[in-house]
Parts: sequence; structure tokens; C-alpha cells
Amino acid sequence: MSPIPTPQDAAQAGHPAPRSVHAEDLAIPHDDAAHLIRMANQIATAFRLEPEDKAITAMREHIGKFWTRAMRERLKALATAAAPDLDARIRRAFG
Amino acid sequence: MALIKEIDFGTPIRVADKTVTLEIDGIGVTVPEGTSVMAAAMQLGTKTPKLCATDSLEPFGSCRLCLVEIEGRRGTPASCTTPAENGMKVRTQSARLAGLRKGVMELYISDHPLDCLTCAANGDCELQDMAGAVGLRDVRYGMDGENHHAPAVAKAKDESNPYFTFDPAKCIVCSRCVRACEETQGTFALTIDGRGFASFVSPGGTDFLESECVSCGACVQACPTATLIEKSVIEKGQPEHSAVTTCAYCGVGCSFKAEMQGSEIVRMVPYKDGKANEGHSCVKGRFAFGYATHKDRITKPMIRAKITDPWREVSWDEAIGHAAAEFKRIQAKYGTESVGAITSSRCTNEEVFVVQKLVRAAFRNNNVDTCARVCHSPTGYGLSQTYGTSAGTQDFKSVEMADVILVIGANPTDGHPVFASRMKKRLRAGARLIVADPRRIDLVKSPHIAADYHLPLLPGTNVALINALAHVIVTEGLVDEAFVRERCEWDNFEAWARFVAQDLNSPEAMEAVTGVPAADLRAAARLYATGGNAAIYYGLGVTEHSQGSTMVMGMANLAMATGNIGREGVGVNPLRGQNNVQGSCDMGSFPHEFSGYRHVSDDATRAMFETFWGVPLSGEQGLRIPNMFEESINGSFRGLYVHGEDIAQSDPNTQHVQAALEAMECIVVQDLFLNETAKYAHVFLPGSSFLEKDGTFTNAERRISRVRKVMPEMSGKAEWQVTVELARALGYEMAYRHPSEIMDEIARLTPTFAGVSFDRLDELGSIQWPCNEKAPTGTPLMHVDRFVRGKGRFMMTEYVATDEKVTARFPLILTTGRILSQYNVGAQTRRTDNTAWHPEDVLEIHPHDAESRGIRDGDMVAIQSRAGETVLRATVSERMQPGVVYTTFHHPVSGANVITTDNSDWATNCPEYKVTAVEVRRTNHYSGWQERNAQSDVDLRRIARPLPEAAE
Repeated sequence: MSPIPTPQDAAQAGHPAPRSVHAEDLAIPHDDAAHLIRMANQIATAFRLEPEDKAITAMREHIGKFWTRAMRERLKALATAAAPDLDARIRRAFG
Repeated sequence: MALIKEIDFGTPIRVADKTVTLEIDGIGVTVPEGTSVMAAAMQLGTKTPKLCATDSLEPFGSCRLCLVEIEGRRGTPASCTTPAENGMKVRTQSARLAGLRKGVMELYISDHPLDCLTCAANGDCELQDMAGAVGLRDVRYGMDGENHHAPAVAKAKDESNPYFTFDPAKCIVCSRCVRACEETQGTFALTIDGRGFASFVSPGGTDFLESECVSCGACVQACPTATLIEKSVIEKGQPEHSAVTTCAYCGVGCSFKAEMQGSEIVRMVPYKDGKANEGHSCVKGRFAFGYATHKDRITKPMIRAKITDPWREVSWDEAIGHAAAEFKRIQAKYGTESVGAITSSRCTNEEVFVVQKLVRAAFRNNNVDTCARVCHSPTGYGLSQTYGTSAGTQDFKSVEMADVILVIGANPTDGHPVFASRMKKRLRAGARLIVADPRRIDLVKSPHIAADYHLPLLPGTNVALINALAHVIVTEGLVDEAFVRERCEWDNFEAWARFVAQDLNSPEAMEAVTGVPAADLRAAARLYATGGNAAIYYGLGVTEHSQGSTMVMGMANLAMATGNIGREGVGVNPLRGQNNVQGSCDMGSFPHEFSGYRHVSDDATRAMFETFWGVPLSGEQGLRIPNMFEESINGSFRGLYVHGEDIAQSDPNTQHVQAALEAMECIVVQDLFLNETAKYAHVFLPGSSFLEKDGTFTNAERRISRVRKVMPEMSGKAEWQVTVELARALGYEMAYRHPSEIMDEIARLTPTFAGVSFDRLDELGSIQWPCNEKAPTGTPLMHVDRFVRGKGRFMMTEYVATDEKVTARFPLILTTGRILSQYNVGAQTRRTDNTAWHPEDVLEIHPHDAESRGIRDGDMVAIQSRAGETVLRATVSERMQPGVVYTTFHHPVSGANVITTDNSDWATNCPEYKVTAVEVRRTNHYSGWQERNAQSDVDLRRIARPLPEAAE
């Protein structure tokens, strides 16, 4: 059985490390896209220790189960447009 | 209806495998070994006179009134302290005993005021009863000797507590109050001061209000005279009838007798047969019910076109018709998905069920959510992922069998005080304690309680802590492999074990993150894994984080790895915030689930609901509360029905919530008061207090208990009726004649509730779900032979730091919580005398942090986060660790949630209330938000009154 990847491995594999959305202190512009990207990235982070195929299944299942259709459609649009801030695995799962 | 009087056996009923058989007054009786002669006699209905004994307390043997004769024994032993033995022959009455008892009573009465006719305890006084029972006719010693009650010598009455008085003149120093404070409540606030004739009951040399007393009422309950008595009884007299009901405050769900005069409540008395509380109470449930009749109650429906208009009182028909017309208009204009509802964890299961039914069947969408979203939604997610169902694993009684208690992110003595008393009782009997909390909460060190280990982690590092505990258990070979092999999925366990065993999860590596000394953490892990039955109790300090769901899974992993699941004394136990959080979740309040946690996309389940409800239902999950706010600001969500919640105060990032509420075209609020949310509402539907309701609540142990109506609805309509009429006005018929019929429907549609009905609840007292053919009397313990999902599943729980970082600009972490005397947004408790203990929210700050900012105790300080700013008074406290500040959110003027952010749990969007980066500085004026809010309190709450008639 292959060893469990560490966060460092995950980073090397091209998954962005979690990052603060607060680019600057006191700046939380209300931005729906940023909000969805952030929620999606949090979910991607939660599954980042899983192998890619398992993680993609888990993320699709999770978002499919809890997000509304409208939110999923917007995420798909962001993923398809390869929104730069969106986690690579989310882009692959929903793009 | 009569006044319910419970039997007092005099001493506690023992549980034992062996029994003993004895003869009392010639009649045989068999009792568990360890039972006193007094309690054995009472099994036969034979009352032995007594004063210092009551069955909530251990026998004391001081009053000498319960003397009996036992064949073959010398003297007259006290029946309360004498254990029953096989073959014993006891006489409870004889001429000799009668003489002795009369002599004792003469002594008592010679030092007791004879004002029985005007005494508040008249009709409910054990001293009076005993004088009658022993046939006291005169007092040889007269009444003129040295005493404690003559005006010249009597100590003054202590009236400092808002709810009860202490009159030393009437005290017989039986010590029942002192023992109740120790044994039942575990606070040790009372003592007997002085010696001999000069001994007296004292709350530690001060008055009750200033003392350690937590006003739980246990002493009042235990007092056999009028010494400690409710002020409401002094004012009103004795109640004449009562009904058993369930407290509407926290998730402990205590049973109470509502003792009444007509439709007026005299007092709430904890009910001994209530399995959640076993006769104990706290200051909220016992005393803080005055809000139910508070002058602020709104009892007439009101509407207004704009939130800046004054409210206009209208008929029920007009209000409901207007609300329905508005929802229809909005849906016609913006689409089916543009409206939704929020159900309340303070309301009954039946009310919650009809609200979510209204959303699904009348709105025809699934936009329903409940305030569990902002508290225990991660519990639902985490426990269902690992164990297969969304609920605590044990009953409260289970704590009596725990050997190691691990409390994480919970402050039971404040948040769940009655359960805390049971926990402390077990701790005093020798169980070991680990507390993981950023603050030095009372459990860490209080009279006769000391945690073996306090792990003072930094807020936001729970998962790092739980992984480090798991690391020790895995790498030191403390895993219960037999349990894991038999009960859990082995592959997942292996993957998890390899993950936690990595060095990066070791206590030493994590010390830099959590701030917890590695040696303490290792020792705590060893204790949890090897100390016998280990039970986890946790609260919102676990769930209200960006990794809340991960942490719940982390705890579930830990319990599985050590085999601490599936029997008494162990488990993973959420302490639920509100009385009916469990119930509101069970009832299908989540946008993705029908009652019983079944996803709306499940065709078979949906088909069953469609058949039963007679309408097609949406298989697409709806909006969660934070998503509702987002969609409101985006312009696609325009109408909201808020039932018994105050989202404008309780939800995080208040300014964001206010903007979302202001953007909506129709908000309907159903509540007791014009709360903060009602400032943004267009229709107000007056609600009912729990005293005006028939229904059920489900507490943190999954225990379903009855709520019984003891007074008529002030508004003239039951809340469920209003919801039904709103559904009808929307074009969907619901035909219920009584809440019991709603429960019948729940039972038919929900497998875990199949065996529940009001009749069955009346019969059994309460039922823990699942209750069905397999478990006809309910299920105290879950996952006994197998997990609900089959095999337990270990989940990966990588620690990921929150996005909410401390910086030079925001160097402190604010964490929030609650206090004993207040409850949630305070809508109820602020309208009672509980404000005597907590008149305002304060900011607790460590002396170092205070000193470096020039802050002194009592200063006004501004707390600024990335989301907003508010101003509170500071309390300098060593309970805090440096770098962490704390406040409560009970008062709307505090604006605690103006500073909390909209960060949330990755899985459930439960807000991250517990971690906000802030800076604190001295100030001399309120924040801009507070100024604006004060103005809106006036502007948005006006009610149009008809002009007085002109003078002729």
C-alpha cells in the first residue's frame, strides 16, 4: 500500500496550499465568485490527503449533496473558465 | 388536574445485584442491598417520621426523628442510616418511639416561630407535617427560652437572591440545603457556620447573591421549612395543580412540574422522574420563566409595507393573508426558489415539522434550514460519516459509569449546568478528568474538582490536538485492535493510523501550533486510552470552527481506536446548545434532508412523502442559512419566514446579515418579542412560550419528552396552527386537530420515530429514539453491537489552519461563549431577574494583554476585527491565556457578532464563531454600529397606536 501523502507531498503535486482570502486586512469585498471559490477550496483541502480519483469522487459527492443547483452551476462555470484561484482538483472535478 | 406529589423514600434508591428481605411492622419486603430501613419501609408505604432525610441526599442521621426498633438490637437506631439486612425485624411505631419522637419535636418547636398561619410554607412544610405526625400537643419547655427567632436575636432575612429568600429564624439546621449544594449541585456554596447552639447555615460568610451560589434551587427544593423558599410562593401562596413539562432552555431538557394557580404559574419544580435531570435544575429552568408573561410580549399580529413604517396591528386573517400574498408574489416574480424558512431549535418537534412541511409542500422548494446550522451541524456531518447517524451515543446517566471524562470545547457548568452536576458527582467519586479548552473553565479547578490535565490549546487548533492525541495512542500501541478489527473498516483504520503516526502529528511537533505542552498531551492520551471507560463530551468549541466537521470526525476516530463506544460510560457526546436542536435536526429542518436524515434526492423516500402529502416535491437540496444571505445580496432570494430565531443577533458578521435582511422584500417573523430580526420584518406573527404549548422536545440524549400546555396562548392561536393557516393561505391544506396528530404523521414517515406517540410518551415518561419495532421503549445507547452504518469508518483529519490569522494589526484571538445565567441571544433571560448576575456582556482579557494596552478592569474597550467593531467593558481575568480574549453574545447592544466573520466550516458552513482575530483598545464612546443600532431600535420598532379619542 502506498504511503499516505503529507501536506508537503500534496503541495509538490500541484495543489495550492490553503491561503488566506483576506488579501489585506479589513478588505472583505462581497464577491460571490470569491465566496464560492473559497468554499470549494476548503472542501478540496479537506480531501487533499486522498488520492486524486478518490478525492474527486468525494468532492463531487459532497458538493452534489449540499450545494444548491445554482451554486453548482456557478462553480462549474468557474471551473470551466479555469478560475485561477480555484483549486486544481476542483477545476478537474467540475470543469 | 391535581398537584403532583412525588414519593420521598427518605434516602436514595440503591442499585444492586443482590437483594435483602426483611420484615417491617410484620410485613415482608425485598429491597436492593444497601437500601436503608427508612427507604425499605417506604417501599411498603410506611412513612417513618423524618426531617433531615430526603431521597435526593445521602443519609445524615442528625434529626433523630426516624428512630426505629430492630429486634435483637440495642437502642433505637436511625432508620435513615441503618442499612436493611436479611431477616431483620423492624418496628416503626411503639410507645417508646412515640415518646422519643415527641421529645425531639418539642425541642425543635421550642425554637421555631409559631406563625404557621401566615407562613409562606403553610401547607407545604415538613416541620408542620412532623408535628402533626408525632401528635405534638404542647411544648414542655415553653417558647421563652434562648432561641433563634425572637426579633431581638434573629438574624436578618437574606433577600439578596432575586428568586428566593433565606430566613435564618425558621431554620432547623438539618443541613439539607448544605448537602444539596454539595451532593446535588456540587457547588459547595453553603456551610454550617459556628458550633452547637450558635451553628447556622451560611453562604460562606456573605449574602446569597454575592456568594458562590449559582441559584440552582436545590437548597430551596431540599429545605423542609420556610427557611429557603421561592419569592413567588411568598407572594402568591401554594400552587393548587401542576403538570409535568420540559424546560425550554438548554439541550439538557430537564423535566419540571409547572406548579400553577389557575393559569398563573407559581413555580417550576424539577421532576424527580425526569430522566435527563433526575430532580435537579439550574437557575434558568427553575426560576427564569418570567419572560413568558413579560410586558414586552407581542400578542397581536402586525404588518407593515416597509421596515421604516410603523407596525400596524391587524387581524390574524389579514396578517396571514398578507404574508401568503407576498410569498406568492415573490415566487411569481423571482421564481420558486426565491423564498424559504428558518425553523427554530427552541420550538417543538411538531412546530418544526409543520414549518419544514410548509416549505417543501407549499413553497415547493427545499429552502429550509435551522439554527443548528450555526451550532451543531458539524456534529451531524461528522458522526454520520463515521458512525452512520447524527446524534450523541449515550444517555446522560452513562456518565455515572465513566472512568475518564474528556471535555473538549464545552463549558458544562455554564452551558449545561444540570448535566455538569451529574458529571461533577462522578468526578468526586473518582473519575479522572481531561479538559481541552483555551480558557481555564470552572471544571479545571473548582471545589472538590480538579482536572488531571488541562490542555489550554489556542482557539482554532482542535484538529491538531486530536491528531496529536491519536498519534500517541497509535504510536505507543494503545489501540484496541480487537475492537477495531471486529467493528470498524480495517482499510480506513490503517490509512488513518499511518497518517496520525507521522511525526508531523506528534505532540512535540504540534506543540508549536496548539500551545499545549507535549508531555501533558501525551499523559492525557495515555489516560484516555488506558483509564477504563473513557467518554468524550463536547460543545460548540468543537463545532464552530472552519474545521468543525473534521474535529467531530477526529473525536469519533479516537473513540473507535480505543474501543470507547457502544457501552455505558463511554461514547462521543455532543452537548447541544438549545433545548430542541436535536429535534429540529431530526424533523427534517435541513435543506437536504427529510425527517430522519434522509436526503431529498432519495427517490424512494421522496415518493413516500409525496404520496403522504399529496404533492410533488423537489429532489434538489435548498439553501443553507448563510447561502440564503448570499443569495439575498445577489438578488435571487427575496422572502423569508423566520420561526422563533433571532438571526440578526445570533448569526455571525451582523452587518452582512443586516444587509441581507434589508435586501429582502418580505420577512415574516413569528416570535414572542420584537427581536432584532423583527426590525427587518414586514409581518409579525405573535408566538407562544413553552408554557402555552402542547408538543415534544428532543434533548441531547435523543430523549423525546412532552411539553404540556399549562396556560392559554396569549395570542389566541397555537404556533403550529398559525403555520398551518399560512400553508392553507398558500394553497396547501394541512388538517391537524392537535399536535399529537402531527407526531403521528412524523412516526408514520420516519423509521426512527415509528414507535413514538403522545400516548406512548405519557406512558413511558420519555423515549430516546430510535424507537420502533426493534426498540419499542427506545434506545439509551447507540452502536452497541454494530454501528448504524454497519462498520465504523475512520476518516482522515488533516489539520488545516484557519484563514483567520492573527497579524500585527489584529494580534489577539477573540473566542465567544455563554454564561450560566443567560441563554443564547438573551431574549428570554434578559427579561427575567437573571440579569442580576449578568447585566451586560464583558470582554475577558488576560492581565498581560490588558496591561500592555493600558486597560484596567471595567474600562470601555473597542474590539475591532476585519468584519467590524464594537465596544464592551473589560474584565481582566487570569482565566484567559495571553493572546486570547473572550466574550458572550447575550445582549444585542454588545454586538458580539458585529466582529465575528463569515468564515465557516468546510463541510457544513457552520460559522467560525470561536476564532476571530481582533485588536482591543481603550475607548470612551460606542462604536458606529452600536450608535446606528441604537437608533434602529427606535426607528424600526415603532408600533402605530390609535389616537386617543378627543375630549368632548
